Amino acid sequence: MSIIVDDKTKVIVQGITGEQGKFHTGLMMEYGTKIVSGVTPGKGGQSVNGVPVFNSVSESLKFSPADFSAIFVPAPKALGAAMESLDAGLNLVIITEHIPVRDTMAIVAKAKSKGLIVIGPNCPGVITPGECKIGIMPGHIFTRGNVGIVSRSGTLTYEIVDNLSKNNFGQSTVVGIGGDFINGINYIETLEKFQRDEETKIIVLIGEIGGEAEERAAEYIKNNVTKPVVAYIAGRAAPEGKTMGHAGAIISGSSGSYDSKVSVLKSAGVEVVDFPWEMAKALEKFFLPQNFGIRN
Amino acid sequence: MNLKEHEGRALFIRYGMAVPDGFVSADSTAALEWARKNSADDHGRTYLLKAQVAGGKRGKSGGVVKTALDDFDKNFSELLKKDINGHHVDEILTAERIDINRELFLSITVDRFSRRPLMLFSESGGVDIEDVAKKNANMLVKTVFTEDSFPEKEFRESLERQITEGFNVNDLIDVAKKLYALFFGEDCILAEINPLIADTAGRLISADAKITIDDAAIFRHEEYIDISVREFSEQEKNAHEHGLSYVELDGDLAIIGNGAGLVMSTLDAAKQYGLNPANFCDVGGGASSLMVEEALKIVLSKKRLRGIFINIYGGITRCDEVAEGLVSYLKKTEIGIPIVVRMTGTNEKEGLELLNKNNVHAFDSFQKAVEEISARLAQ
Repeated sequence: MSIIVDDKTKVIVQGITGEQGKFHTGLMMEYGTKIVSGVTPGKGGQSVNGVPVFNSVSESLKFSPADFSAIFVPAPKALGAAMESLDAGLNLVIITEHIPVRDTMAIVAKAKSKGLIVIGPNCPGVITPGECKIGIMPGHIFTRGNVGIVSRSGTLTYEIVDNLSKNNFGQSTVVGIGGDFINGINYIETLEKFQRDEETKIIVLIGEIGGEAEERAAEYIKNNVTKPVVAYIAGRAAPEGKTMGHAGAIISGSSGSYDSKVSVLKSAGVEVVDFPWEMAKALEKFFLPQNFGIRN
Repeated sequence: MNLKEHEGRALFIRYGMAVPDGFVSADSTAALEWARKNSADDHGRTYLLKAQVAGGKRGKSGGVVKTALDDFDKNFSELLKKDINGHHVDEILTAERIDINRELFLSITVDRFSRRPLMLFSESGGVDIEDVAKKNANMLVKTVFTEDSFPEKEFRESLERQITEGFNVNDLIDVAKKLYALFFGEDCILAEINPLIADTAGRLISADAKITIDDAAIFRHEEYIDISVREFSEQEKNAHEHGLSYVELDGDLAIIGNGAGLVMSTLDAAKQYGLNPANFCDVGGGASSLMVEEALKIVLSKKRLRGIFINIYGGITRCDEVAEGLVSYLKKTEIGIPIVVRMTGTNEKEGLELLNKNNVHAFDSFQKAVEEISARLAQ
């Protein structure tokens, strides 16, 4: 078991003929992801890594059905690309950075009305180790196991996954929800899936300053999550009012600060580590990697 | 990016909303001339001089001054010399004063939790709206909606619990619809009118504008390009031009990393080890050696640095590529301060070897690297 994606998940790539799209299609296929086709308007008939390219999503789906679209198209065209896939009933992983908030709101509203999942934008994607990777994560650092990870940051996720994998804590599924001002799937929707997933025994939440998503997640954990949760929050050294790289990472007034997030998470029973390299040690308190049971 | 009040006011006018008469200038003679002309029928009339700086809490910081025509010149010149919340005042909006009956609050913002626009209305405006919400949540009406249509019915119903004396509810709905058009039309993150004044004649006048435009939407609004970079420091401007994400901080340890989360985490770790970050600098995914050199040039152009700490997790970014950029820069430039590099992931071995061969302290462990830079700077 895992969440969101597994070895049966079929994927199309929008923006497959672009530099990033081409490069990561190759890496996803190498990882074992079932990429069935690609879409770039005007480039139909070409092929990338042996994957046929179509002019539209609907044409590509006539060739082969799919479950997800991975979107690599540039921000000005991302809204159109996303809407096309949602209309065709596909879930989305949006890798593209700098999509306007207004466009993301429209994408999320449409996905909600159709009961579809949107992961991202501005995210590394989702991976179920050994089965399926949709996105840009370095596949070789992930190992299969019982830790579910949900994160707002890419490289910070790799940092922590590396620490866990090296200490024999494999992962069930890792979901990068993205660093933008608003995102598709959020902490709560992901936590809900991890709570239901039998393979996931413990959950790691990687957050950062800005917004109230971690506070809301804490409230949800308190009332609904029985599995242990360990968190790391980035941004304690960030000043107020400055956007720290991620559009969503900004402290405005009293809202979104490091202290607020950590204190709410702790009061919900979440263990919070001070440094990313302390994650594996913190997990050992609950759960030894060699036996898939929870200690105590 | 935050607009100045007069830029927001111009948008209000463009979208058909009533605003107080006003005149923007840095020249007190021109402003006084405008005020005299405007006062032709009443020389006892008073004006508001409003410093045009982006950001809130201007009133509390002395950025808004009431003046009569007699001491106009003196008040104008004094305001022009002020520094408001760290911003130099270079323009003043001279605005006619409205005969206030009531001060209301109306805004549209993005609700990050529901991922929808959120309209906020309060019958108690003119003050900090966070204080209103804390004191009496009932005084704040919240309506979420989507871009497809303005939720007129829902908004009207929610007003039934509010005191709506002194103005016509239909007029308020008209202002709300115009603000809704502005919010989407200009790709706003925030469009706020505070106060929205109901004057003694019952008219609704948008007397102050707080507008934040989405930086990501600039490709649809080229008119905001200059505004989007005007608050940047020299380093921030350079970084922006080279596609680097850079934020100026007040410490003395230069920092470079890849990925916003990892760079934030690097600042945090440095601070927890007693160091003081001078900047946030993210070279992004898949950075080339040239990009790394550019990043070094920018972070090191700051004065009074004591050290530099570089933290790379190689995913799409290749460690050898970063190392090449570093070594090439260090061969050309004598930096004269300690440098410590942490590097792990894709092509880590080649990257570390290249650095060690060139006498750059490099580690594969984040913890060891931060300990090292901390020890070097303690000496």
